[in-house]
Amino acid sequence: MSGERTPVWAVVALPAAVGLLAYAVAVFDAVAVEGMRGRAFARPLRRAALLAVRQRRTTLAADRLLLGAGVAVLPAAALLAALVVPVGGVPVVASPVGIVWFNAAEVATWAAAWLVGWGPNAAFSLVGGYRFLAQGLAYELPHMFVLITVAVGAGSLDLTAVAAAQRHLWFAVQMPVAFALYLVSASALAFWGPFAHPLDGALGADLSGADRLLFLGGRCAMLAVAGAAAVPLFLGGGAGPLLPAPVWSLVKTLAVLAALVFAGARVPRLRMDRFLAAAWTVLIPVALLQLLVVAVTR
Amino acid sequence: MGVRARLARYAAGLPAPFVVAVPGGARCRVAVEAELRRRGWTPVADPVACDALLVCGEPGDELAAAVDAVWAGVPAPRVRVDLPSRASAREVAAALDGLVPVLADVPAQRAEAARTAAKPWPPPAEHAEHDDESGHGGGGMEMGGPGGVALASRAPDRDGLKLDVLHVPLGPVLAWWPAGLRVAVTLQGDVVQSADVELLPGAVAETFWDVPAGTPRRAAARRRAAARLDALARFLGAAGWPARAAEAARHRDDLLADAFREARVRRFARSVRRSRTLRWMARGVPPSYLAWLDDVETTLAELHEPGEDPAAWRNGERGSCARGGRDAAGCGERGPGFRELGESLVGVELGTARLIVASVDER
Repeated sequence: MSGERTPVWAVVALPAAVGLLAYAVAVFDAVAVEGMRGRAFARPLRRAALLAVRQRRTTLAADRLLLGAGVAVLPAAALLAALVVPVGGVPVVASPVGIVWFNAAEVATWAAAWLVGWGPNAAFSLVGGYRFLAQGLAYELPHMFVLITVAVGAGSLDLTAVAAAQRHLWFAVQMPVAFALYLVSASALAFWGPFAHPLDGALGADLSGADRLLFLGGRCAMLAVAGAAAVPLFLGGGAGPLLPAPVWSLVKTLAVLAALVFAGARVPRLRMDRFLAAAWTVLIPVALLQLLVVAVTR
Repeated sequence: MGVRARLARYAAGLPAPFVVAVPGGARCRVAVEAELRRRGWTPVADPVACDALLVCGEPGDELAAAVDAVWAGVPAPRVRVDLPSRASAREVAAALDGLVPVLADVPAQRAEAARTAAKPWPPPAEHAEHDDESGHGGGGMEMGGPGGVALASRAPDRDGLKLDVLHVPLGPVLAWWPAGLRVAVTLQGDVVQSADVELLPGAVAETFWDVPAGTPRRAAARRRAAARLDALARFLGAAGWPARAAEAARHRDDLLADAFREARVRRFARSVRRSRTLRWMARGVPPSYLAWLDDVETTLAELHEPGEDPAAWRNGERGSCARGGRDAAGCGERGPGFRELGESLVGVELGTARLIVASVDER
């Protein structure tokens, strides 16, 4: 990766930007699930404050090392994925293989989910881990094919070049199926909304205090970064009339995140034991067909 | 004042409650849930995540012990409130007002944290995993595991693989779960291999949903529809649809307070019934929720009918299945009672098991 042009302030700005987007996700979620009453903007902050100061309890004979690694991996993976996502055409690290890097960072959620499931030495956490492994495998494959489809369409693995390739027509229009699959699989990889089955009284249920804050915050951050990446991947990056490119990037990102969170709240949770068959038999073939169409028509 | 103390005080402004349902405490629980919603204090799904444990009703000895075990695992800052089953809305509000100063009392909460930190959590006796005695005749407990906990043993599962056998209790302190129900399950992976169902009683009998003879017709109908909406809220919560579950609870409280909008309740019932995803996820689960939706709609219709109090509910022929009559799919079928519950849980995934339990028709 060629990082020589990365300005120093980016080291501070990137976590701050990801944190703010994760906060936006938490606010959307509070409004989508609990409604507008009360101060929706303060609710995630007060909850985070509670977790930050809270006593840390662990389960009996928990594997502290693995558990700690698991909860730290999630926000770390979100930050690593965000490194290559261009905002207004400029990523923190301009990489010719940005899409591969982005996907590799996303896959780290598997490790996070499994470690958090295994670490507490508790039956229900472990069940959550099983559920996510099944879910992860079912959604990572379509997710990967979708990213490949975008790369084929743009003829590049560089996210900045991908955004530039949509000068005339957004990929969301050129390959709508891929866009839909991207949103679904991105939610599933962040176990968000209808894909929160791993969390249902299972994954993370034994976490308290800072562990819980990192885990749940990391999950918001993961969704936020996946939403931010949808902008250069499908929505033309920072391109737009009148406003400067970074503002367009932000507006589009918030729109994608709001859509993901509010649409997610309108659907009951999908149980993985039931949904897996559909994921394998429908999503993957559909993803491959879309790839074929893009490859042939390009 | 340090940063941590400031943060703790800031956090205390929005308590994270967990409501413990106790048999006989439905009146109190409904009052608490309504007051929590009024304040915007959304209950959390896991007791570990709560800082305010609200026990609604008087538990019997066994249930009280289970609640104590859960309370022992709640990290500080924390506060526990035991409300009597007859608590009025005003008493509930006063009790909730009292939470915030306790949570914001930083020195006292620090002392509490120091006191509880000395004990392991959960207490060893309550720990979930232990040796599978039945798997090895006379094998007994194997004390070689980490932290003095016995290691799980293995047994062939339904696919013939050797998998760990874990014995874990489901309930009685669990979100979207019937009051006082404890199901001791044997798990392999996430599949229930056996289930022993036990109802831990409360100290007083449940009478809240009963409609005594002589109740005015309209009040009786509202109470019955509210009972169904209460069950629906639990089912929708267990199905992972928190927004709809909250809506069901809101309509329940509006009906009880006679401040409901019939059109909205009907719209809610229609949209839940229409959800294909919910039907798909509930396949294989007794379709109680559809029958409950029917009950709500027929009961609402009764509000407009002149004449005698329809006695159908009381005679056990509850729910006339408004649409399509008795032969329609799912119509008339009810979930198993608690007695038959154990068998219906064997061989299902844990998430399905939660849905089956939430489909139990308690009334």
